[in-house]
Amino acid sequence: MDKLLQELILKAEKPARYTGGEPNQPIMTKEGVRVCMCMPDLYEVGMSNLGLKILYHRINDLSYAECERSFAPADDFGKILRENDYPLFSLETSTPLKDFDLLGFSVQYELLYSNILYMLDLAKIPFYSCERGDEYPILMAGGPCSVNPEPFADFFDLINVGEGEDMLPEIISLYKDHKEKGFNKQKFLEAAQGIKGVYVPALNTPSNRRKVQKAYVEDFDKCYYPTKQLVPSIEAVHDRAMVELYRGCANGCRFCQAGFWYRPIRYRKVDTILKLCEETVKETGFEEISLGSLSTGDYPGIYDLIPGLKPCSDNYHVHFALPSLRLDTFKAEFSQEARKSSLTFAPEAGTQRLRDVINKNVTDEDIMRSVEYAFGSGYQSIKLYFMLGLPTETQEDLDGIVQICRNIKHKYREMHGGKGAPNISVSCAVFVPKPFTPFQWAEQITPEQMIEKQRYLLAELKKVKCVDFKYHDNTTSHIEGVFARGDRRLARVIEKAYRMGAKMDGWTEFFRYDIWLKALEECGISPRKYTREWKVDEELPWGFIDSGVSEKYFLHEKELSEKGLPTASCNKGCKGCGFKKLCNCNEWGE
Amino acid sequence: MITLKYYKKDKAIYLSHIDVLRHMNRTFRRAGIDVAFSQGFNPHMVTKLGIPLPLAINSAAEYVTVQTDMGPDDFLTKYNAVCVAGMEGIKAFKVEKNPNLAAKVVYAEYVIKANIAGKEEQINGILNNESFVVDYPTRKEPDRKRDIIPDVHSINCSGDTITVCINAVNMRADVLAISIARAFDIEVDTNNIWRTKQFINENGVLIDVDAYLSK
Repeated sequence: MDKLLQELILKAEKPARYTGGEPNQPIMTKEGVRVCMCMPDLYEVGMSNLGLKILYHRINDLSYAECERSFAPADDFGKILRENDYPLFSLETSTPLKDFDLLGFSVQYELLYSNILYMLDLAKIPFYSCERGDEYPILMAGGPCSVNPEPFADFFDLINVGEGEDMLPEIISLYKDHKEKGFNKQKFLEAAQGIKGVYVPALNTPSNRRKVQKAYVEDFDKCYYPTKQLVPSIEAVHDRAMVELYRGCANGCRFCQAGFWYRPIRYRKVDTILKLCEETVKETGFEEISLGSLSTGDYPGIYDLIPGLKPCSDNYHVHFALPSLRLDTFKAEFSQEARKSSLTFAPEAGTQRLRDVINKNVTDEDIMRSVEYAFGSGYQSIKLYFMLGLPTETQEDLDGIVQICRNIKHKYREMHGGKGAPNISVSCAVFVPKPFTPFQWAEQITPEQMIEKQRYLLAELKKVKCVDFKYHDNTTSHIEGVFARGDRRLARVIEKAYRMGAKMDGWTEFFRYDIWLKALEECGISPRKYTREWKVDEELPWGFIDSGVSEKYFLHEKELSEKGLPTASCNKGCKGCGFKKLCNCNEWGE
Repeated sequence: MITLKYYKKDKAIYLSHIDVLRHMNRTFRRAGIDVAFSQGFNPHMVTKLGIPLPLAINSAAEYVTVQTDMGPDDFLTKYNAVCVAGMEGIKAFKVEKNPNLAAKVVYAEYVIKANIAGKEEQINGILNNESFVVDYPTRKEPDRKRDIIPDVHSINCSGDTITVCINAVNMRADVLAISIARAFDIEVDTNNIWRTKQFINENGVLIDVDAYLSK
């Protein structure tokens, strides 16, 4: 770190965001293929991301490459860099981003798109792939948004569709070979297209399409996991280690992109998880480990896993968290022994009818049984997650949310001699139709409808008296809805919005709805083009990606949802989504 | 019970006091040092840090105390094997009870690199004044003036360093260094300030914490 940078960092609000040097950071030699993982969000958010940690260490374990990190600077430090004409740099060796061989952007959600340009701008790197010659690094993007990369496709040289554990080493190895022979960007990109999961937007255009197959790790039990992982310098948003139990999900909730995208279902064995947990605690010193998956209660080995974790928990004073529990699989054994603060459940919809439409296989009985258990064992607070604007939603479904709260309050009183009231927290997100779900053709309700529904619930839930009602901002949901199903025309919108001042859009205090609407208008694009109901025979911007789940299956599920018919969990028999041969869905099933 | 004396240097100077606490707890767990936990519903590692160090100042004299049955040599070896870079242990003291350094330390010694340019006598003579008012800006009061005499115990210039012993709680060495530089028109290197000693007051006599812990 040079003297000027030292002085600049000291002026920043939280200097440790920009210095690196955390425990378990590998020693850098600045040799081999130099990669920088770029997270277009603040340090404390980026360092909470498991994908970043896995890929960072995966690359650093390669003999021919080194990986560093860079995060979007907070507003104060961004200004300091700009005022001093100091280019954005990596944490480990303070190398300017434009001096790396490859930059890998992790795009976690739609509202981060403006931050990609914010980072490139600070790094003095031209935004569009076509503007960058061989002297610039190869820009890659990956992460959940690569499900539909079209809105940001023009900015990147290549996009990693799917899981990166195997794909990234292949790309880096190819880069090494090309670098040794004298690097030519065009030739490298042509060759990179041969790697599973690699999408090169400049060579694979809407008028000249080739299929891109999603990459995924086949043997998840043996999949790379860094037990000796970075420990954040300052408190991260999720300041704990995370060990995944399995990838994919058997439930098939029709709104859930992750549930379909991360198929096939692949389990980690209980013994592997126990070993990884203990090693991670020893190597990092984290006081908490989160056992991640899309639905923890559905992990077939859960009854062996929980008692198996006890020795590790006792020996190292470590707390294990089981997030993402479903109401139908919630069991008394899962709850924590010590802290009985609050339990969170996600019924998603207020009535059984709508829950059948969205295929959330949770019944009113499941809800009340779980609530009864919770109150019986000392919990005072219940958190409930719902979605507004789901396909076919009616007034009755909104009233259903209110009724669930009334029933919970009634149950509490019944169990507490008619006295007191629980703390119920209701959180309502707005439904955003996402690619690769049976609802990918569905209409998103308008911002006005969102406000109307939110106001109604606000008034009605107030009458229940013990409910704290939180809801997602309708404006961010609207923009998210536009970009979720967007096409290449939106890159210009992102650029325009950024030039008008959009950045850190994921943070409500920075999000500027007016800028986005103006940018769309100036580009002559109506947001309705993307949020309307799509016809099933229309060409989808993400149609060239093969997620492994067939379009026929999504159409079939769409039809079932229109009839209000649920589909049972894959654990109760394969439903033929397209992954049958590769899926473990029935391995431990009934 | 062990009190560890450790550095805070290199990139570790950017860690805040609360970050240091979190890192200490995780380092002890990584090191396999069996530290006592609090009792109750939310058991946590009982770690007693010394007085905070302002951000960006180096130190060769930071202290942390924990309850453990481990011997000092073993403790130091295990700690150093996995500690945060820049927070290496210097010495481990076996102590009977918590020395409560956060409350007892009153003065700290800092060494400031400077280009004194023949002003040794004037700087060394600061304490001969009854009062010596300098600019002492803070975030809330950027125009603050302050008489430093009551909070400065000693000042010694020698070669290219100024060594000051100042109130450990309410005076910042970097702000003082800039004030002295302005007052005497000299240059100081604010990126190269080191806390080198901490003192407690025992019956009116200042005792180096190391000596106090060795007793």
